[in-house]
Amino acid sequence: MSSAIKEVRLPARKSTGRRSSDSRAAILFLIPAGLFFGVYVIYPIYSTLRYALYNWSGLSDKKTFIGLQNFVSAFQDDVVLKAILHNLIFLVVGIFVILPFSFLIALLLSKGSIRYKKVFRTIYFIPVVLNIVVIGTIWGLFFNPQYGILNSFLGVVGLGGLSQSWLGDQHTALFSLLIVSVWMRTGYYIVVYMAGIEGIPGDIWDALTMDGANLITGAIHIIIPMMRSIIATTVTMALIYSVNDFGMVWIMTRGGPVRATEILGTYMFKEAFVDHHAGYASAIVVIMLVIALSISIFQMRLFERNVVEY
Amino acid sequence: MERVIKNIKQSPLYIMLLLWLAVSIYPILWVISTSFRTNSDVISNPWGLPSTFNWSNYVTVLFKSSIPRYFLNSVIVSGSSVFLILLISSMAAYAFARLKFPLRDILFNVVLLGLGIPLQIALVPLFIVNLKLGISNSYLALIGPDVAFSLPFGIMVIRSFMLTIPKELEEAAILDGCDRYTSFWKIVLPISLPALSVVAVFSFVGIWNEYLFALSFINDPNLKTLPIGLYDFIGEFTTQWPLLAAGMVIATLPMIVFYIFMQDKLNRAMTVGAFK
Repeated sequence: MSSAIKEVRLPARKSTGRRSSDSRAAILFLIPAGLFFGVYVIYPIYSTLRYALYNWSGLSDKKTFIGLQNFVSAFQDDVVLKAILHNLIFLVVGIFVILPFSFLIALLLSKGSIRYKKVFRTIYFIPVVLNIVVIGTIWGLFFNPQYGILNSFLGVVGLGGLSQSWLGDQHTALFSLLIVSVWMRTGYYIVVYMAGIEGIPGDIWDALTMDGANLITGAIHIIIPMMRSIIATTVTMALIYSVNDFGMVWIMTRGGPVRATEILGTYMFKEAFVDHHAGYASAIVVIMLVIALSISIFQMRLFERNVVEY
Repeated sequence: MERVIKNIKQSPLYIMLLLWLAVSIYPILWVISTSFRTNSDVISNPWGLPSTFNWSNYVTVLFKSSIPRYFLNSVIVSGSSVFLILLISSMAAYAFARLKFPLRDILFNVVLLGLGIPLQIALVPLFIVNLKLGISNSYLALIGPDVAFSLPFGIMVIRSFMLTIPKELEEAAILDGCDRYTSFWKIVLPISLPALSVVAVFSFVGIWNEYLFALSFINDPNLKTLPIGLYDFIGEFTTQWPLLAAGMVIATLPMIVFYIFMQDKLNRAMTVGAFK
């Protein structure tokens, strides 16, 4: 009814002026964003793409054009391949441990009749707002071989034989970082999933209980498809995070020991600022960019939800 | 809120919830507890609780260290950035949500792609540019990229929300002679407050904790933001754990309090659909 009235009203206003005044207004509204984005994102991308084609230390102005040589070297570089493997491991843990676990907790917390639900949710989210330096330091202390809580705890429980230098040993370092990664990221997804679950109409839940159906099967067959959009978003976020991460690894292990925890982010940083291979570092970050953008584009195509419809 | 899981408290799944609760909060509690103890105490028994409330560590941190300075820097950088982010992204979001113009859809998809761009891509170029323009070691060097990289998120969230605002509201005002700009400021923006809160909180926390650019662009100890400054602080007092703990509490508590304060608004906004 009201849309019919709208249709009658608008044509009267819809002179040729509207389209162009929209465009004029749009330009004004978009200029600030365009400016910032152009200066701080687009221009650096262009620059980095250029730097990647040179053999350049970054310190002097002396550059030699070497075309795609940096990229060829990168793919033959053991460290790069190792780093990609580590990024992949973080990715797998992110998608197959963090997301399902967060979803389960979100489901239980939303739908179980727990009295202090909001308190639970707040506490779950706290690791997410913590400073990376704080997180790195606290867990560094926990993992400390001499004074660390973890080793003391193992001793108390009788598993003293498992005590070791968690971050200093190349065999356990990555695993320790994965633990920290799960700890600091789960809360975020719990909150996102809870918001999604709460958006599902109540009748669905009634149907589930009346059926006597097991909650888990009900969740898998009904709830998850309904939350497809949110789940897609979180999967993409987790994927991209694994490619682009830097802070946590840098603070806790700097990528060591002996490259045991090296990821693309830390390797790029070292190449740029420690070893002064700015050109090579640029190539590495271009690789990161390509991977990240591919994930984004793939997700957009697959789910079509970002095709703007009016 | 339907009760689907009956007797959850009896189920082992409830234990899992409690366990994760403990795991989530234990490190913080440990830090807070340690901050009140003395060094010798902690070395002999790292797990124990403080015997008395020893505030001396906080006094040292507040009056004899650079932490307050770092705190101030973070406030300035985060505050300015968030202000700019809200302003700029809400304007852009309005354009994408309400205006028709050529290339709109393509541009918006570019914005969405911006979400996945690694921060490091700007590292070397901006470092060089900062050097050449002489603005290394300045608030500007941080605020610029921090704002820019937060814009896609802001635009996406606010636009999502604006799409849910009935067009009739604005149509009525425009018929009364209102122009687009006033309509934006006086009508659409105030209604979008929930979405703005979401963007404000997430951006503020993100920029407050931002590490890469702060580490790379700022060397002047007087201008360091909290994460970097804290790292120096920790390097300076390595084995004095209670002191470190006090520093960390001061560094983190405002963030936690801020989040707790805003979280009701946050969750309401998220359920409304700011996250679609």
